[in-house]
Amino acid sequence: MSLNGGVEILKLARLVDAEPEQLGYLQYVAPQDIRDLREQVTVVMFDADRQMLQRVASATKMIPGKLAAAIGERAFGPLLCARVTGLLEPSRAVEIAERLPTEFLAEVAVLLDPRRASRVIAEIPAQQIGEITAALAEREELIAMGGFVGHLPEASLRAAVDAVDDETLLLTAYVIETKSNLGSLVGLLSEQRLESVIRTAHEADLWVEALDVLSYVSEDQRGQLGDIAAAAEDEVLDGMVRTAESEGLWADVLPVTRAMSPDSRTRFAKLESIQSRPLLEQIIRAAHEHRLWPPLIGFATEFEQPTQLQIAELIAEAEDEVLDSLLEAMAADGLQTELASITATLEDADLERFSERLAKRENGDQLSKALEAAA
Amino acid sequence: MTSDPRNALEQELDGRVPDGLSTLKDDELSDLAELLQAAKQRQSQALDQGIDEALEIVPRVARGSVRKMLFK
Repeated sequence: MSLNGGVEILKLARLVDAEPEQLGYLQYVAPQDIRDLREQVTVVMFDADRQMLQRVASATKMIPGKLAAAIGERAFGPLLCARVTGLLEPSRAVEIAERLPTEFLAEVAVLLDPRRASRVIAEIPAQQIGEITAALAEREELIAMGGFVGHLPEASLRAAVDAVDDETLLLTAYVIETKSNLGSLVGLLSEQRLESVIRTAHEADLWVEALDVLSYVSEDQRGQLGDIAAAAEDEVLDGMVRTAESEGLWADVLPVTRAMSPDSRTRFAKLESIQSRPLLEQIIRAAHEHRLWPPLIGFATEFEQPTQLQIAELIAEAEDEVLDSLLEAMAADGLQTELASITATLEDADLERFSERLAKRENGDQLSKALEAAA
Repeated sequence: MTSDPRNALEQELDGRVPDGLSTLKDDELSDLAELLQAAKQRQSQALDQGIDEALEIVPRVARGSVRKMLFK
């Protein structure tokens, strides 16, 4: 759920016209610091020669749009056009863009800072945005496309989304400039398209990207996407479980189990691939480290009894620190009954030892009472 | 460019280097400063060249006034 350092290096490299490998030493710098540096470099690059660029923008008013387009394409090239775009009157910029080939506009788009040209971007007709997006997708310019989301009006964003395939959509969403825009992007997609995207996440092995998106959308959207995944065949969910296991992404999956419908949660909990003890141990560790005990407990109540027993054993054997954070979350969220129903599956001798342990822990008495009530 | 790599980068950035870059070695800071300086130079050269070529394309009748606007 954090910025991706590699993506930030790529964006910075593009800005200074370098190869990402040249900036390899930045891999040990926090992604947010690379992003801060990129912001500074963006300002410097766009402000350099600003006076002359402003004069160029003013001079375009003196010549016909057709001539300005010819100058842009033949004399200035994409880099200077990208620098001038934000300085033009939006209607004038749109008039010039109408006369430029899509391929050239795609090259300009790659070098543009969308924030400095957002008024122009907003006025480009949706159909043209769709055409430029298709050209960008063809060149696999995912970072450039990700920068435009948030600056495009709904009709344009829709045209852009329609112009790319599911794989490109997922990869672009993963590198989107402003993650908070993912909700509005997902909100544009039909149920059918979302089903297709989830299937693609499985078939193209893009669960890392899909789970990242899931961690940024609204709770309702998370639930909707979770329900779609849960309605798919076992192998789709197995793919998600395998990715969460290998990449340590349970902190992204647990909130999905919380947001999905009870039926979907039950279906997910029945999945064979999730019943292994090492995997359950990983999930418990993630719940502890990311303070996600409530969704874990809610999910665990859906498991069959043998799996609940494994979870209960793992909890009973957990380090004090883990048990204490679980008991604290239980007390804060009123989850005594649910947790008691899980831990009550322990064998008698284990339950007795666990009860003795609870007696010494803060909030342990609450679980003990719930266990007595459940007996 | 100044001899102190951090100062050189700050000069190119026209501001402070983000704190998180304190782990970078001097040669890495120098490399960043040089990359940025070179990028700015390339951009300026491209602008000069672009303007020269643009004036060739502008019809003679308008060239004088466009030139005046650009180089006032």
